[in-house]
Amino acid sequence: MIDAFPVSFSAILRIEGYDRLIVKWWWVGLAIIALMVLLASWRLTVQVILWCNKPRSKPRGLLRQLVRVHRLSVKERALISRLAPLLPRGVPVAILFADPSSWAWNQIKEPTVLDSLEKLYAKIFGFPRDREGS
Amino acid sequence: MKSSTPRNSPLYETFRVLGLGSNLASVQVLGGALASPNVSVRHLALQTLIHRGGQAEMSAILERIDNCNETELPFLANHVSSLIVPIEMGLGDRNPQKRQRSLCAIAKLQIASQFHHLVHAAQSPDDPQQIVAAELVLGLACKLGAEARRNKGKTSNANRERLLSDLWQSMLLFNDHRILQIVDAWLCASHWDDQAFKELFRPTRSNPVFKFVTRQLKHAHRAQFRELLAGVLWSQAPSPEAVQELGERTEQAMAVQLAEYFIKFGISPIVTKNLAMKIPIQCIEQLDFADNSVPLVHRCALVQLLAAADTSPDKIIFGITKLLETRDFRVDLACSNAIRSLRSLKPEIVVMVLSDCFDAPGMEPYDPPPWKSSLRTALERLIELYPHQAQAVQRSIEFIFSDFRCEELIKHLDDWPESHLMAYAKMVRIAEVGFVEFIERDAQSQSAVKRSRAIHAVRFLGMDNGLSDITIEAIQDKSEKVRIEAIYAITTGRNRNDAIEILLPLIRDEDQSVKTAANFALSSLRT
Repeated sequence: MIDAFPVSFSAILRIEGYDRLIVKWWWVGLAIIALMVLLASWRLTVQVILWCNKPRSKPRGLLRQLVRVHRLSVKERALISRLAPLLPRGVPVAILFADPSSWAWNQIKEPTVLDSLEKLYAKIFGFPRDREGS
Repeated sequence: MKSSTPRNSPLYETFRVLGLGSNLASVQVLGGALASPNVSVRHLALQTLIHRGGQAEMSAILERIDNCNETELPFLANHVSSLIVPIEMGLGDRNPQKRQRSLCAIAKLQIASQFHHLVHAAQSPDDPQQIVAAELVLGLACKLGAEARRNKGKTSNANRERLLSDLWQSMLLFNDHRILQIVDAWLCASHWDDQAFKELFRPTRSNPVFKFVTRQLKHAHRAQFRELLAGVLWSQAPSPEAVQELGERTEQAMAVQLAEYFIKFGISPIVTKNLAMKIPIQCIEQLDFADNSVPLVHRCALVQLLAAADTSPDKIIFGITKLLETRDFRVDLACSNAIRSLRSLKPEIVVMVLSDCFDAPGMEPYDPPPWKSSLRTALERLIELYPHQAQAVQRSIEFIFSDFRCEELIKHLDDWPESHLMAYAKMVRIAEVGFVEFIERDAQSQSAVKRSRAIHAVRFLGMDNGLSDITIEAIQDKSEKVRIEAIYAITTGRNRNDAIEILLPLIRDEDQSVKTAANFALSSLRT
């Protein structure tokens, strides 16, 4: 049975001299299986890499990054936290670092807080509050 | 587009962070920053979003396309290839806002390959965005058309040509959609040298749409249509029908538009050729040059255009005199140029117009034709204004009447009626600076006939400007004929008492003819 199969296999393939090959048919099968395993693992690897690099919306991560870049102290971070609820609904907190007009000055009444906020503003934007609209 | 923010500033640092990595939270922040009233922030946000270059980023830009100003739009137009996909997605979106933003982006960024979407939306009455699309198409057409019409010749602009082509296709379907803004947009985007615009006026075009377009051009009062029609004068080989259409317009705004183009493009051989079609341009001809509501600089331009347009001389002179009456030095150059164009005014015509031979006693009552009395009034006003003008204007007036020569006046002394001679002499006094010297030379001639004719001419030229001395001297001439001519000349002079004083000794003259002439002259002076 085992001997008969290669004969019929060669007949199927219609390859003359197949029986005389050093590499037998099961070696071919083995190679195909190995290739498939290799491809599957490659695909898996690519998918893992893509998943790792997939764009994600991480507002907290961005805020942390900005706080770190501007070297804000704990007190300054507290001021940011105070400003955050004053932003319109749906607007990310990080906008406070990008758009000077997003700072809701009119909603802060305490002079001491205002003073601290002005310092923080100058630190984040690099210019004093009176140049806001320029 | 360059941001004014220094690279080492904290704000720049913030945007550097927002431009990093794959955190989509940055896109929302950058989108928010695009709405900032701070220009630097908007520029930085736009640059960062373009730099990130993802689909979400482009969608964020599209969402804020309405906020982009004239400096940001060209920057975006340079990166339009990245925006095509979100725009196309927006056009197919069911959300009307997204679709509207896509249409807006096509118009604002002038994406020629997508114009057909805009035109299609504008021509579809059932489209929910039809009104917006029609307004966008019209705005785009006005912008592209205005850019094209800044040049007198046609310039190649692929965007304008594409829009015109898309609008033309839509216009051919006008009977189906009846959207007037499509027609308006096509006209607004057109240039007077566009082949399609020229063909519009050809009477052979039987398509009713063309008739409709020309009717719209005639009756709709859009500044762009006025530009288009006014520019016909600067067009290479315009159709006479188009010039006719321009000629029929009477509104002052059209005259102002022509003046603006005259100031901008000047008079070229093309304009002269187009004006040679002898089609009267009514808006200029009917303009009141004394009307201060039209800026003086425009009136100056129009008087020159009027002169170039082969208009009747009375209309040109009326325009000139109205401007000269303003006594503003800014009119001098324009008036000088316009006056010089009247060179074709023939002396015979001027004499015939100015002469009052038909008013003489014994003549049958005669009503001069309107053109004659109009030209006479105009010429008389110009002559009246002549002494008070700047040198440049005076030289121009002298130039146009330079055919009036003292020599010619003397030639016609026998065959012209006195009123003709008076009129001719009036012009000689203006045109020939050396007429006194001419008379003086002839008065000192060896020939008695020449002397007599010179003194005869003084009668018409007047006794001032040194001619008085020459005439008084001629009383003592050896020729009787010269002396008699001198007596007549002195009699016609302005100062009656001086004339009596000069002629009084002659009543005791040895020469009988002189004595008779002196007596006759004195009796006429005393009555």
